[in-house]
Amino acid sequence: MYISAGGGSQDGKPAVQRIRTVVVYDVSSGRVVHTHHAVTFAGGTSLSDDQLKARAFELCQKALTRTGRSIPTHLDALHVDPASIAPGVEYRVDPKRRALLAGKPISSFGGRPAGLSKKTRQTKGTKKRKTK
Amino acid sequence: MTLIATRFADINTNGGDLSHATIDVDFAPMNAMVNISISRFGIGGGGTVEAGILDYRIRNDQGIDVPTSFGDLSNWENQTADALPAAVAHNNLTHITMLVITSNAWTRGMITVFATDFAQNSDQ
Repeated sequence: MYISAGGGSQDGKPAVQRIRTVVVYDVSSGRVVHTHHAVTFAGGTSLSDDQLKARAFELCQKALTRTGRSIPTHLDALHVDPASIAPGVEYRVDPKRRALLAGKPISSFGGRPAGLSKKTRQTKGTKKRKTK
Repeated sequence: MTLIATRFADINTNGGDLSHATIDVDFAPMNAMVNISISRFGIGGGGTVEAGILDYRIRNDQGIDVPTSFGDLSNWENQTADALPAAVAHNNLTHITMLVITSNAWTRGMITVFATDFAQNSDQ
């Protein structure tokens, strides 16, 4: 899950003061069930870390209720650095180390998303160009 | 009158299961207009994508933030064909939450907040 923030800071108007991200994950599989971002501007209400985790659980439950599903029992929440999350990549959590792991890229039309290096774009059967 | 604009994007995907993400945006009380949009999405068989405003808060004359939620299924007055609102505009807005849900699909949702602190000129 990727978040970008822009705007503000014109003529002394509020700029982004803080961005925080919490992922709610299944402790048995490490699958990220819900991702919550909190963006706070100057003068805005900022939650404590524990409150933010509780908010992530609350929103996860709301989303599941909305879709008619029950909330899984084995869930935990983890604060992650929003800057460490790249766009177009799926993530999961290593439950033992409680660390975010990058997974496969999200492809739009069955191909690889833009922004990957040529090396990672190289397909099977293509030869590398030799350089002297 | 100066207009400030904020912009946030989120991408969301899954492998045949449900996936969802939320963004809370908090700021000092302002005249604000919020728009939610989906710039691009892909849907598999039976998949669906939804993005909208889950809740917002207005600071009243007593200095208390008053919430309005669209995610409460028991609040049928706020349910319009089961769709979350895509836009809201109000004076003294202090908080907004965007929800993005995908099922067997991926998408990128964007929340845009335009605001000015001239609250006395607001239309509700």
